[in-house]
Amino acid sequence: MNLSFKDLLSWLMAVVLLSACTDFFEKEVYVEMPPHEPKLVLNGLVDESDSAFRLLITRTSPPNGQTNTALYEAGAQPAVKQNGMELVGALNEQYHWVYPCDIKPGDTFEVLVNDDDLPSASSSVSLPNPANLLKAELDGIRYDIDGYEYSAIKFEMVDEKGVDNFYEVFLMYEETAGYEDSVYVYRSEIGWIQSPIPWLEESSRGLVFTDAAFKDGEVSLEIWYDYYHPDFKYYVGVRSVSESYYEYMRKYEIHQWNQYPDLFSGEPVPMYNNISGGYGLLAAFTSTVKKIEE
Amino acid sequence: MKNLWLLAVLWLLASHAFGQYRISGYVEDESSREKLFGATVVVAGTTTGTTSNFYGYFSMPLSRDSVTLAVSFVGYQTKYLTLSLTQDTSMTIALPPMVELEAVVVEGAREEVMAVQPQVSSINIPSKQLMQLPAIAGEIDLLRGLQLLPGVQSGTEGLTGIYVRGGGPDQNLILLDGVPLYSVSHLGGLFSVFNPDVISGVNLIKGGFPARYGGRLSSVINVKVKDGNRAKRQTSGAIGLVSARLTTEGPLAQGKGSYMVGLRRTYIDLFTRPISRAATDGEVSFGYLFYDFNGKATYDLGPKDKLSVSVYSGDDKGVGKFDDDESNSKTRFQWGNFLATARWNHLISDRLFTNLSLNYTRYRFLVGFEQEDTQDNSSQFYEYRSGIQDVGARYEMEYYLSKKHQLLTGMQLTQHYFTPGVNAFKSEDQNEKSDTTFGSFNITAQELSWYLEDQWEISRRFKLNAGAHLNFYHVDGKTFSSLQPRATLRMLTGKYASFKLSYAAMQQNVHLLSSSGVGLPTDLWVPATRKVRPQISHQVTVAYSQQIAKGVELSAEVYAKRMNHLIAYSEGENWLSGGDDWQERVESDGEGASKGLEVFLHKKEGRFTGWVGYTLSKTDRQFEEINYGEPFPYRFDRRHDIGILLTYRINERIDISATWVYGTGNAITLGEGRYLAVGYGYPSLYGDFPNDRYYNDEVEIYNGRNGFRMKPYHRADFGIRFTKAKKWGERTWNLGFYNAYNRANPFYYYWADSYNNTTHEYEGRKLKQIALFPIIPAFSYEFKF
Repeated sequence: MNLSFKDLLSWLMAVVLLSACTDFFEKEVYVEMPPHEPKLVLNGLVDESDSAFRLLITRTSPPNGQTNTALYEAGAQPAVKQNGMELVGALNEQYHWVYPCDIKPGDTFEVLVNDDDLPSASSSVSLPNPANLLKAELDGIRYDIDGYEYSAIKFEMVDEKGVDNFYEVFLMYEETAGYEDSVYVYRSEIGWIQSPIPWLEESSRGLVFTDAAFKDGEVSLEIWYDYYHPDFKYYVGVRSVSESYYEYMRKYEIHQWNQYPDLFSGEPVPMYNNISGGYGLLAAFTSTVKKIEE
Repeated sequence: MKNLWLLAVLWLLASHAFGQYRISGYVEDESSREKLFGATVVVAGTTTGTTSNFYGYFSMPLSRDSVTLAVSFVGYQTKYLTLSLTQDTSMTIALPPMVELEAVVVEGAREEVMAVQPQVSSINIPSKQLMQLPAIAGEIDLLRGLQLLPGVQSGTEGLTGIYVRGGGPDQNLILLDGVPLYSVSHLGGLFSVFNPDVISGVNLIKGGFPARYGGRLSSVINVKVKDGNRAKRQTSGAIGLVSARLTTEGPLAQGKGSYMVGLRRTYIDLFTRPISRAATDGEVSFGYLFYDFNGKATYDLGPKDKLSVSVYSGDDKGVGKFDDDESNSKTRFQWGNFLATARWNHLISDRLFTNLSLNYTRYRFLVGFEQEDTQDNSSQFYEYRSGIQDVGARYEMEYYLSKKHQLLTGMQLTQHYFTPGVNAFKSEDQNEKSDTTFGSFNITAQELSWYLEDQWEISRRFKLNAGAHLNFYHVDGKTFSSLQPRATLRMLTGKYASFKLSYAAMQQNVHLLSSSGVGLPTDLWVPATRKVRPQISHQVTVAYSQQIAKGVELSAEVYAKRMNHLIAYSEGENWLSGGDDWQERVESDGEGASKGLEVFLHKKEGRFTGWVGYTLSKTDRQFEEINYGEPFPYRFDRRHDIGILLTYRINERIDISATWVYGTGNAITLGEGRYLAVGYGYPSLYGDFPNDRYYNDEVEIYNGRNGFRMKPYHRADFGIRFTKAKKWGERTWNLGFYNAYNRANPFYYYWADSYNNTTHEYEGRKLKQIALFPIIPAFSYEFKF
């Protein structure tokens, strides 16, 4: 066969084009992994304002599987203690284990879950005392590095002495609307806030921080919100949270951001876990809110 | 103590007194008169010899009046000079380039070549060998050539990052004419900054570092720029698919000096600008280019004094413009180096060579955005800058003391200016105006180094290179001092075989903060500070090498390296994560360990040349706050790594070359399972869980960092050169094929949701691989006249 240089080049270009049409650039691959051994997943958030302790029990799924209702662990046998006393009369509401009880600051909850075919899992948490929120007020306009405008809100609080405290700040708005003869008041949390203070870290529900910078003292902090509506009422809320809540929330965002590797992001970050023998989160919080003075 | 000093002085005098005549001078290319560094000068039939230094100079005493010298260098014919000396003699030895298809190798010269090489873990690649590498996208790349050597690994597909013996990309002291370069990549790493037409040669050292080098832990890559042709004016260049280059060189002042000017530039922007405008009705315009400029001039003030000035400037620039009826905006990024050095070589006597150099080097990275709103006359400007600048002076002395001792000493003073990430923001509208600068503070640091090195020929069988590198580093009101001992012992074990043992302690006062570890321009050069200490390493190498046939050398090296005070971004941090001080976002005091076996078979002469390199290695990292404090595999830990280069000269007009690389897949972190998490206030613990599944985010179970491996990496490149003499000079068509058998090599993996094509039902997740480069044919037209 007499192949000229031009022919050769044409063939090569054809190969390149064809390779682009195949699954060259993106394709499914197989990596040998150890067989997945499912474990219990316990998720429980103890809220001082709630009338029950609620627990969701699921199981882990393999990396290529689905996490859906099929993973709800119907055969789990949970045992929950409040201050050492076993709670009874659990209701199984919509796949949740619900234990009606009176929740107070300082209460300790212990959870042990046995299962027919999975290893047992356990955890415990104590409910912190409420934050001492003094006042909250509007403090003018700020701009971020992209030029976006924000309303600045300052709030003052006093740290509880003698213990390491963990907090989460959030906003809440209140809208009053009328319908025929009735007046309705809507309240809703706003999690998407920012702060110029670097140690107020993003969480999925606001900003979490510790008392390391104002231990046992008083502090004035600033948060920013970019959609302050003059017709609404706004409240600053501070949750006094368990350490597990704080660690979980600050990890959650960076875990989600770094799940998918690319050239510019960092390495994947393991999720915080405080469940022995399994995965998930047992955390607690008490909330305090203060209306923002304008 | 007094007696000890007296003994030492007597010993030095005795060494000096009993020496006979001395031969000294320069080794150069016969046709261009370019000085050759690393050329071997030996007394034929003995093991007495030396190698030319970085400036081509050598000096050696001779114990007999009448001798035959054998002078050799890769790619050149060995020259034999019979001399009858009646006094100390200085001369320039010109080597003719190899022209024969079958090289003539004289049996007698082989043993001596090995005998004078005390250096371990080192290889010289002259420009002639470099030009035989297959071209990628029309460009021959120096760093891709180095990646084929054992112990030197590439990082991610397509990129020119260099990872030597488990070290990071920052741990390579890359010197261009003796001055450090901080970033050596273009186009995100597809090309290196080294224009092949202006390079005279490169020397790579992976272990057993001589005391004269310091400042990096893992390697020294010493790139020498051509001085320029002293015999005649010469122009060379190439036109390729994405870039073109032009170099001109020639004599100055009737051959007393020379000049060389080289420029390389891409013309990617010439295509991207009109295409982006046409595709968006003129609203968007995007352009990208990179360039490299090299300039050098040398001048001999006299037989004992040489001056030279060398300049390099190179940048990558990208600009995107977006215009519509309401606003005009511009995004730009830029990174690059500027380097300048002035040097004075002075021979105080034929046995005392000195060099004084003044150096400046700068690396900067910049990304910016500006926007003007034509509706309300507001504007915003944002810019992020990082970089490093060094100003330094270096004075070196090489004292050819006696037949058995060659002393090298020197001092270097460097002032560092670090800009580890500064953000500037300005905004203006009808009501307000703001102008803010925030981020990490600029830092200055001072560094003073002194070294002493002795190349001691203990006996015919034993040769020792021993010394120490003393370093003082002052930053932030604190001074770090370190004494770094170095030693390499060579023992001849047979006629053509030697055994070497070396130890080297190194300290590095700069760190590279890297999000991904692949060596991107966004990586941040930061200084060692009070909080983040200098990196240090200790490396031991044991080597055995043997000439197994004419021009064929086989060597095996075993090394173990320990690294301390390494840094890494804290979990979840990267260069984009906020304007906080970088010191608050890193984990310091990390440790690294690497050990390995390297086997290298090198055929240097003849029609058929090349090498085969194999590396078996293991590299770990350990940080207290990463991976629960447990050691984990380094991302570029590669159990097996193979690099093969083959070149064959079919005839005087056609050369072919091929490379093949194989490497164990990079270590990656993959989720081994998933579970339902408390996300945005959920999972809805207040009821209605199945219906609210959308809000119940899933998180991954990671059982350790870098616990999995991507598929092995392997690739073949192929090149063919058609050279033809023309009336006006010489032309070469250079045809190259990157990834010749179209292997889809993994760039990264990710879990992707999968849906049934017909029912569109969710089917769980599948692991997907992203690959970058299929077979890429490219050609360039090279010319020389």
